[in-house]
Amino acid sequence: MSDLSDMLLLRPVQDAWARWMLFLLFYLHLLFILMLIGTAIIGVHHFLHSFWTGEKFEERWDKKMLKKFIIPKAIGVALGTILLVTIQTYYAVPFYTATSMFAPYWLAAIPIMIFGFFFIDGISHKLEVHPYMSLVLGLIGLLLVLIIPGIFVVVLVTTEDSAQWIAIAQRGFRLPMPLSVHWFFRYLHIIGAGIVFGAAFQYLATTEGHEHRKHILVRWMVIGLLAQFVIGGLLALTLQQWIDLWTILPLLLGILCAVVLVWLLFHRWGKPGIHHLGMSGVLLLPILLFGMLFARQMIQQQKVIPLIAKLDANAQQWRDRLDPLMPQQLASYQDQIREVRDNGATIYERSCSFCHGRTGLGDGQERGHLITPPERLAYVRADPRYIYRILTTGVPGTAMPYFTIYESPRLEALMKYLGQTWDIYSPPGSIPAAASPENTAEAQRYFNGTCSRCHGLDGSGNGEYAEGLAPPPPDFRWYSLEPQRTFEVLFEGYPGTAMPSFRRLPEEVRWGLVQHVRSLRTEPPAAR
Amino acid sequence: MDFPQFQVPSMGHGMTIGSNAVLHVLVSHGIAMGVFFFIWLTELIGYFRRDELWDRYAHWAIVPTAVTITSLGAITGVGIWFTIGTLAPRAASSMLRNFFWPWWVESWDFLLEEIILLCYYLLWEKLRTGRGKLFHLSLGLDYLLGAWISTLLISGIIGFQLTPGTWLWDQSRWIAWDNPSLWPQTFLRFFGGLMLGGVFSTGLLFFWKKEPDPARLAEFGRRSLRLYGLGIVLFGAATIGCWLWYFYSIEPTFRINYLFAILTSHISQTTYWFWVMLGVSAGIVAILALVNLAGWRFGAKLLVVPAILGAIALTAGFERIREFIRGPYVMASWLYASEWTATETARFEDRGMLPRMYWLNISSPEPTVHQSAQALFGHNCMTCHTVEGLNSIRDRVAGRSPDGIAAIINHTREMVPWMPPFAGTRRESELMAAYFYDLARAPAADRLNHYPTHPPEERR
Repeated sequence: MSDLSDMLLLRPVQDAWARWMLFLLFYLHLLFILMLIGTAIIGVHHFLHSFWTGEKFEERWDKKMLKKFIIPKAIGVALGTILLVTIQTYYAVPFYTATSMFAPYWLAAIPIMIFGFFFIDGISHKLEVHPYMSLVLGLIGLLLVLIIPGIFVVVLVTTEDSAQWIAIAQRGFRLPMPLSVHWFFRYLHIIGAGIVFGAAFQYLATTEGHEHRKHILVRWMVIGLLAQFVIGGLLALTLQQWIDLWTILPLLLGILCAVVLVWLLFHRWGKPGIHHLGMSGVLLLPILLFGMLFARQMIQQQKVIPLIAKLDANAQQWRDRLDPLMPQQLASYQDQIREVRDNGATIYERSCSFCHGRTGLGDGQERGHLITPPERLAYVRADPRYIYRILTTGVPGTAMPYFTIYESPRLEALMKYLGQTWDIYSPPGSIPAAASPENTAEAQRYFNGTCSRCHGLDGSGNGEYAEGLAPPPPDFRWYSLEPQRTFEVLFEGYPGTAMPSFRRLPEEVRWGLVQHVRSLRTEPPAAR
Repeated sequence: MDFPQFQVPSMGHGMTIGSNAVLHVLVSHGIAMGVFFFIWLTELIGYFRRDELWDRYAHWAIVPTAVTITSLGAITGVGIWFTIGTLAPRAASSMLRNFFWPWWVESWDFLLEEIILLCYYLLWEKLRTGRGKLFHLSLGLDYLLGAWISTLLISGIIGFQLTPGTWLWDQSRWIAWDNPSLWPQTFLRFFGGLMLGGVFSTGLLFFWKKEPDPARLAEFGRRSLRLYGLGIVLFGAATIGCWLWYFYSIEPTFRINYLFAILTSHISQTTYWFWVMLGVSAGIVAILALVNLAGWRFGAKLLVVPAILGAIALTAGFERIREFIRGPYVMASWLYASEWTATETARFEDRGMLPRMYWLNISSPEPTVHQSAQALFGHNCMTCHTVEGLNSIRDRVAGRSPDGIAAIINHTREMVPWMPPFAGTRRESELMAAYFYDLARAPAADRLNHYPTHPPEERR
């Protein structure tokens, strides 16, 4: 039971295994993504070349190159999904903190990826496209594809550096300068690696029987590797404090592979007629990537593991505080399941009674917190259409909300319940104390002279002083209260509204007013 | 642990997650399963009839299909992770931990599907004849099997959010996946996808102009339309059956809110609109099916776009109902839509939420009332409400008194069937109520994107 209190403590796989899984997945994912990036860069570059030199359609190499784009894309994205599942499980808090901080960019990555990939696929898959359209698609597609790693890197950088979160937050969710520099070189390092791996992928996939193409791609690889030495060095400078034995060894392995590879390629390049990457060249690349990513993993673990341990400790504490409340959780769900709001009684009990009271006397839980008290429904005598209007628009200036959350059949069920329980659609009852004709006449004069200023002569609430009142006066043509209650309102006033107390009036006149107001009930005008 | 709050401008969280997800469903069900199925069937027919025209069409059709699946389908699928992770991180991480293995297996299954799809697409020419063709056909079948397995796995996972069954008491992760709506939803999505495929395939047919002989093209067109029409009818009937099966596997307490899910407060008082919209959407698809069965190419060409729109409306409507009626929960029995469990809500009601909000308290040494209110809004309401966009909180409380708003906030759970309880003390609810009251009166929008890192500007 206790593991459920905070799911952060649930561990489908032990942490150490999970980190190996993360490494393996990141390795595989990055392998294909690097091929994707390189294919896009080299492919679009040669597309531009074909475009400007007007090469014959059938002989174009860029089309063959770009047609291969779908392979690393499909596989890289699928691997990325598994990676996302794993990193979001094991590094949940730092990862979600990072994506929340950079939410606009992270969310924008989706349309950027969709359009970027579509555009590159668009120019490569013999879809019916005009040549200038292809050019535009190619350039925009490449630009979008190049933006994507930038977004992923900023999220990864933030995930790893929890010590910098406060600084990031205080800068309005922007990276502080040292982290920006690290981000920049890390991003460039990925692009550089993309060129190298992309070139190798194209070498294996599209150059059979074309020595010239092999030569071009080897040149891309060599330039890429040389650039990587420089960028990598600058990147390492931004990570100086994290480099320890476990980091330096795989890093050196990677650098060694890169050096050997460059030497092999230069060496072979020098010899006339031989432009082969060779098996050794092909094998060096995955080992190079392994070395670099292993180093990265070691650095990442140094940064993240202490945070995860602290979070676990917090989660344990939180769990201990929440455990005693579990029976409440079970009980509240039981109640939820049993409750079906398909009838007036249930709807009233859940949606109305916390203000209007179980017995309709306006004595619900919230009574004491409200300046304008809830109406005592048990004393209401009104036209159903008026009640329906209140239910669908609320009463301005009070707590009474609108209830269009219930569709008309359910509102009708509620209204039926009100009618059955409190008889609210019947006309008001008879006056207990009969008023004499003189008192009634005086009451009417008083009403016309004083009350009508707000209530209007016809009781519709259109008096000149009623304009802008919230809550407005009720419409006496459609709405009444039981006589005893009306008498009470005249005596006490209506708290939280503009209706004052008229207790100074003689009792007979007040009964006369009750009589007069009752007589204002008419058939309402045309339907709502 | 809480997270920095970001409000998607205008659209709000629900619509952002939903639009991406519905697009994904249309592609993953309608195209990745549906259109693919009909392409495979076309190839199979071509093989049995020894008619290369059918094979040629299928080979052409797989190109835009594979491109769309691997670009739009896969990325919108990833987009679900992006959107729920950013906008509902506590729910996403809870779901992930509870369903780690089904999701992990599903991810590898998805990878396998992608690889098989690539092989099916790229090796078409190489596997054109004899045993190669049989192998090619079996690849297509394997892909469809993989797609069905994906549907099964995912249906269990998302089904749990609405029909957790007895999980809260058993705590078994098997029970969580094998929940009451697992099988109904699996078959609903499967048959629904195939039905969508029939509609989309009708549209795709009209783009093919690669057959020089007009008579052969016309005959092929008619036969294909009949095939798609039959598919729409059979799979459509199965979809309706599975929908009813699914619908009645849901607890009545949730199920009963299906009408409001579509109508919303705007037209909830005229419920016939629900049936009108349903009737028109389903009707236009049914008419297309009949037109297809008659082999009437002109009619199909005329109706296919409205039918596609109708099919999209049906899909979006289903997903909207499924997601909406789950309220007040995002994981029924466990996590409210406010992203707090009932136990956490109870604790915050007792001890307060504000002292525990890490990002509020580090953004300034002493948060202002305004910042605190925004934090409370972010952590209670922002899953469903925006400030000035869709389902704007200003619209919801306009006209209410400040004490009235506080009363409502303290009884959201009772008052509105799909709203979670407020996770905070009475004092905190009054603070947020005052903020809402100001919002409802303020002439211009009060834009909340992130917690402000400096004191707010002077009040207008």
